[in-house]
Amino acid sequence: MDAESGYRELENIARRAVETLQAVETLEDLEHLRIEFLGRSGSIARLFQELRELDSSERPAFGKRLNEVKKEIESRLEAREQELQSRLEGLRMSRESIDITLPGRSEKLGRKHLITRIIEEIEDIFIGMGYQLQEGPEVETDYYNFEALNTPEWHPAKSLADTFYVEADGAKSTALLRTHTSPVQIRVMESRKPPLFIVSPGKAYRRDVPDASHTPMFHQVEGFAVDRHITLGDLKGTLELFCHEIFGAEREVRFRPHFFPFTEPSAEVDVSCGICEGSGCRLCKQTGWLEILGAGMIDPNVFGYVGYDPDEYSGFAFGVGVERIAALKYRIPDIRILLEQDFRFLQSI
Amino acid sequence: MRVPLSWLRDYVDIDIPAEELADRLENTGTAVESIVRTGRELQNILAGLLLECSPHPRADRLKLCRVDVGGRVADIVCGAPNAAAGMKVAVAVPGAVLPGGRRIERAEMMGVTSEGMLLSGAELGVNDDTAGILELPAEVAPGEDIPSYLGLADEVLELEITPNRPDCLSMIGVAREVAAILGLLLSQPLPRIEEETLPEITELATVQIDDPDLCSRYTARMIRGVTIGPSPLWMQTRLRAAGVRPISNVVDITNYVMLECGQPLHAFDARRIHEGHIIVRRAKPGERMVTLDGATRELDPEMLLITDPAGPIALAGVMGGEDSEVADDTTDVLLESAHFKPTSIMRVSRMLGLTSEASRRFERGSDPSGTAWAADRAIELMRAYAGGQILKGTLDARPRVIEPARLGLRVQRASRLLGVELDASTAADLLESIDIRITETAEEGGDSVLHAIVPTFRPDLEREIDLVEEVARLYGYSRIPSTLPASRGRYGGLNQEQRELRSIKRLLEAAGLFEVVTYGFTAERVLERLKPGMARGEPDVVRLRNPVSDDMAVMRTTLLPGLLSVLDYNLRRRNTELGIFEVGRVFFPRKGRDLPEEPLKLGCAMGGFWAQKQWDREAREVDFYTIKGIVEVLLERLNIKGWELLKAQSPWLHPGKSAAVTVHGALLGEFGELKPGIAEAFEVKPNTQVLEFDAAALLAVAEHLPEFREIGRYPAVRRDIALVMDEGIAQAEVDKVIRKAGGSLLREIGMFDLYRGEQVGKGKKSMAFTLTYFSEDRTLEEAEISQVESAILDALERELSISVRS
Repeated sequence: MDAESGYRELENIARRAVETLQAVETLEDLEHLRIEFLGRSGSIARLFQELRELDSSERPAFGKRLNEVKKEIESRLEAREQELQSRLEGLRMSRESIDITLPGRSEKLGRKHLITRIIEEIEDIFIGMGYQLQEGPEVETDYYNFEALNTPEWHPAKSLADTFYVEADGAKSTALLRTHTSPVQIRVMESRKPPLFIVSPGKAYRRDVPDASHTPMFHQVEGFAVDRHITLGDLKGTLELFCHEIFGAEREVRFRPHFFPFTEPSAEVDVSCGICEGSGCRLCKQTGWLEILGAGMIDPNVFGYVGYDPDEYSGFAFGVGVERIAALKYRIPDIRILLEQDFRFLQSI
Repeated sequence: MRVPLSWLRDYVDIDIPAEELADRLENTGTAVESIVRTGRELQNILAGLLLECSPHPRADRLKLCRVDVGGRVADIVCGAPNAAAGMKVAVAVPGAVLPGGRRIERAEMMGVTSEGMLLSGAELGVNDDTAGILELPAEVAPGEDIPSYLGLADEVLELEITPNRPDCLSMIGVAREVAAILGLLLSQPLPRIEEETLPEITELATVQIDDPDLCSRYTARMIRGVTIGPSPLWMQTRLRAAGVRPISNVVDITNYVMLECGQPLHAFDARRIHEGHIIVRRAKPGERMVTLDGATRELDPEMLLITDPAGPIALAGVMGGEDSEVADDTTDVLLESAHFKPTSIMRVSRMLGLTSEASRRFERGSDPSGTAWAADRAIELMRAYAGGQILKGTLDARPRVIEPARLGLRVQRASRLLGVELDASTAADLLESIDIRITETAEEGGDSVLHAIVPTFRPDLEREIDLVEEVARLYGYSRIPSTLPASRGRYGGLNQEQRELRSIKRLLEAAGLFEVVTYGFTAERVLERLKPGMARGEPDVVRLRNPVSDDMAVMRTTLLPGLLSVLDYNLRRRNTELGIFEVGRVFFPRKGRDLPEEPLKLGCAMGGFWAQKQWDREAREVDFYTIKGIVEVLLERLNIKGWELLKAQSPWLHPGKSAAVTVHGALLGEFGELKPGIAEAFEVKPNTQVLEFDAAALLAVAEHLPEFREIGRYPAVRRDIALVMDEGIAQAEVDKVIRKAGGSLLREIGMFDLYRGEQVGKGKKSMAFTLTYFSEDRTLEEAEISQVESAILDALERELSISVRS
């Protein structure tokens, strides 16, 4: 072999390798080509054999070129192999595809009751403002439920038509089912000294005929703050923040003077209607406002019952109806569904 | 309280729209429930003069009427028996709209065209009279617009008056609020009495008050020669708008004046009062009377009566007596205007189940200074609308003068309480706007003190704080800046128990259970069904004195009634896969104590399918091990160690499929399957499982801070063993032997198979376990593990005769 024919053949091999590698479609054919070019008796090996026949002065250059071509073929072979491999894998995976729309597997998940979730939401808002949680008994005495809350002996709420009383065991009993969570105010103030920042969730009972907004048992969260220099402005700020957290910052909040035996001054708190945004609709009875809670400054007489000096301490208290909040927040037209426990309801909300 | 704006305008010149007025009232403490517009739809109803009435040619009962409706004459067919020439009548001309939207057009009536219709009082909506057409006063001119003449087009505010504001149960009271809010003047009518010179009332009537505590004042006037008949239409219209049914001139006037000023009045037929002598006293034991509703009332010495020497003539402040009421033939009226003790009226009205417009006002507190004005006002109206002569003078028995309250208001103290800086003159102006007199402003104890005299129509203002409230509401809550209380280093949060109760609920929802909230009360028979031993009348349950129904008559002693009723309720609605829990109080009476014990319980119930069949999974039915799984999750996550299962005691549990959970002898609760009879009685599935734990007991043994235990870096080794044993051996016994023999290297025992059948033989069963070994300080050698394993197998063989399954 002379150098000239050697170079010619080498370039031929290189060109043929590029062409055939491009055309090959199976891994099997690719393996045949590897043997043809790079095998022990392949074309590259043969040229290495023939290298020895060349003049020693031409050998290094030819050898260098021969190695280049070999490397080139090797890398093209490898690239083509990867191409074919991945094409093959793609084909295999497409044969393996499944119906991804079949239902997935999961364990059952239950749910806390909506009333519990609302109570926890309310608790957490006040915890964030530095309040602590304290519960009280559901069966209360007249003293804690009415008297110490400055409710006069003749007050209509105390009648047998409105309040559930407990049957006495011989002696005169004043036990009743608490009509609100406010007795906790008295219990806490009796046993602790200000500053007091307390929320108290729980059940309360009234002898109401069930309707869309009343059930004989319902849930309330009582909240109160007692310290030096607590003001009506503090009550406003606190409840505005609360309403915004519960219903959204865009809702307006208003305070209307009202009357409760255990607070003075007293207020009813409204938020702007979320459906009509204040322009008037059926939900808000055309007023643009939804009444959500009652509140006020703790009456000095109440402080009198627990031995606080009303000139030293002041405080505010409020009571939130949990079912009312649930009804307004989730637009539930009839709160009785909250106590019916129909699974279709429990699962849906 | 219904307040027609046209009436309110008699006392205050309201110059803003009704909506704005409602807003202003709301913001100062008078809630407005609605604004009702009446008579807006009324159109083309005119006054007419009946010129001529002739019979209809083809119908006996109809008349052909020629009516002057102002400038023109209309021919109208009318069936009213009282239609007669010369009458002033209300005419609906074609195109008219009547109350309720009824339209009147030209119509053919038996061959004659009728150009409209003559209206009865009922058709016009001024009274209930349907017998004939309404006769209007002679003064009205033909063609006049009737709705505006009678004031039928009006705006009525429906106010919610809080119980502390009896003064606002009157037009003048509301007008006073309105005047204060709008900065207007209140004008109160001054009665002008044209009384006879003789005889003096004292010659014909006397008043004696035997109980000055219950009746501080009794004012009376008399009028003779009245003619009972309908009251004027304008008064009837106002009464109706305010929600009171017109009856007769004398009665309507007492109601009208009560609505006007808040002082309830009572008109007696003077001839029925024996000797003209009124005695105000308490009832005697056993005394009775017939009230004007015809009912015979048993009286009680708690009750205050108006009597004459012959006996009771009225239940003071609540209801009149039948014998002395004003009747059609009454000519002489004695008018009572009195002040009674509010709590007494309330008690009596409660005892008799009787409430009236009068009792509502008396029990909230009427104005002791206002009785004379009301009597004068009513007697003036009676003379104008019922005729007769007013006797000279007034009887005014006043054994006890209720003085106006004198209060001080510390202005800076009020400012501090409200959170807004008020000066003395602002506060004084606000109080004076509602007729509280400020006599002086003094500097006392570093504060400016307003000395105030409170009018007697505001019995709710008794303390300084009451004045603070008046200042605050009139100043406007909206003008008080919103702030937050200073923190003073306080912190908020749940305590440990509260946190753990929340996490228990989270755990149970993650375990697939839905929380329910059920009533605290239940039926006694439901508890009896659960606890057959519980005899009726036993004092182990808290009973209600006044339940709404038998189903809610006793407080629950277990959560089961609620839980089972939820299952039942849902089964009836074809809801399946029911797993529920509740956290709530139960109630047990405590001997010698007023209040019961209220332990907090955690209950679960489940029945039927736990999961329905799915495309890739078989259905799973609930059984004992489903609820046991819940128990184990709870115990594990609360880090409760060393718990044991004992025999359950609850009478509702299946004795062979239930257990009590104890820790060091303390009972946490019981769980398991319901007895078949109980499941049947509560109409739940036969496989229903229940659980009830005591929350306090559970939290008492929970390890709040579990100990850290080194796990090391070395891999675990797992070995399976299959064992054959006698049927009578419990898994826990096997577990215990394995654990003991396995020593410290054995870290976990998992049971993966339970088999009974031919391969192990009769009376035997096989259990298979995966045992997990590891050490924190080395990789365990094969030989080491085999050694432990054979120790385990030896122990099983020795102690329980358990062999390896081959």
